[in-house]
Amino acid sequence: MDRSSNTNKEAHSISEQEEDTIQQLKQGLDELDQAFSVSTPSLEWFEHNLREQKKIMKARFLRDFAFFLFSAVVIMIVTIAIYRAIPLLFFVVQALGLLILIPIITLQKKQKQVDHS
Amino acid sequence: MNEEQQLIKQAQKGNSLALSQLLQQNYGFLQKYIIKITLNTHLAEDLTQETMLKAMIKIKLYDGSSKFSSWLITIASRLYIDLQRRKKREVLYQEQVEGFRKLHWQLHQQDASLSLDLLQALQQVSDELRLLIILKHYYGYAYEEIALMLNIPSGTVKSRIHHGLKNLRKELVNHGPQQQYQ
Repeated sequence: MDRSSNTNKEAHSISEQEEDTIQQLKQGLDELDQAFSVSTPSLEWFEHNLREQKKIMKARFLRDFAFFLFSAVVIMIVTIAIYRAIPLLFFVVQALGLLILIPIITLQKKQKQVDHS
Repeated sequence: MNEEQQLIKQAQKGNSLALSQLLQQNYGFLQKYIIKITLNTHLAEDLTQETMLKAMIKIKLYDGSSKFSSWLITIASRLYIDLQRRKKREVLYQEQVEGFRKLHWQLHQQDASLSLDLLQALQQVSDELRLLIILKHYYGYAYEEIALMLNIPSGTVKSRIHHGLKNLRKELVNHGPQQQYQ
């Protein structure tokens, strides 16, 4: 009996303590809210960023689409070359692929280095 | 249909002005939320802008199941958690200490003694627990809502908040003048 009443008291005091902590949290964060005034950017700032985001998304889409097309063409030609048994075509496509891909990868790496610096 | 819902509808149809107005209306609220979870005004500014950019891209995915401000809070919270996970522990610690020192100084100028005690205690609680406690006990979100926001089970949310609140209590007793519970 004693133990259960003690447990009840303990549970009650814990919840009271929790409520007190929550109250302190609310008051403190309200004070923090009042202490800092936020300067909201102008409507033009939002519109400018929106335009920039659209440009970036369009450029990214075009790049991905071009990469997809290029990969598809290479795979198609290699498949045809293998099925039709034209080794020359196979090697020409491999060489062309390397010639095109190496400068692109080098350029991308350089751009990344510039971004980091 | 209220003004915000109209703006959302227009924004989802591609109206740039409507989207800009919508984001502008929620900017202050969002930044204040981020200041509370990061305790760093500089980081809060960066994160608010990043959240805005993400909202611009994802506006068509907003389904209206929660308030628009809650959707922004969800984006910001996930960005913050990702950011903290990506950073190296040392860099993170240094940034937190510097950011907190600035915030502390700014509040000290305004003689906000209650906030100072609370902030010191909040800073000792881990980032994720702090975020959960604030979402539950300051903004009043339900455990299930927080679970959906952060994509974690609601049982986990509940136990973490309980644990976090205990930690916060302990830190408040250590830092604040509330010695009566000791």
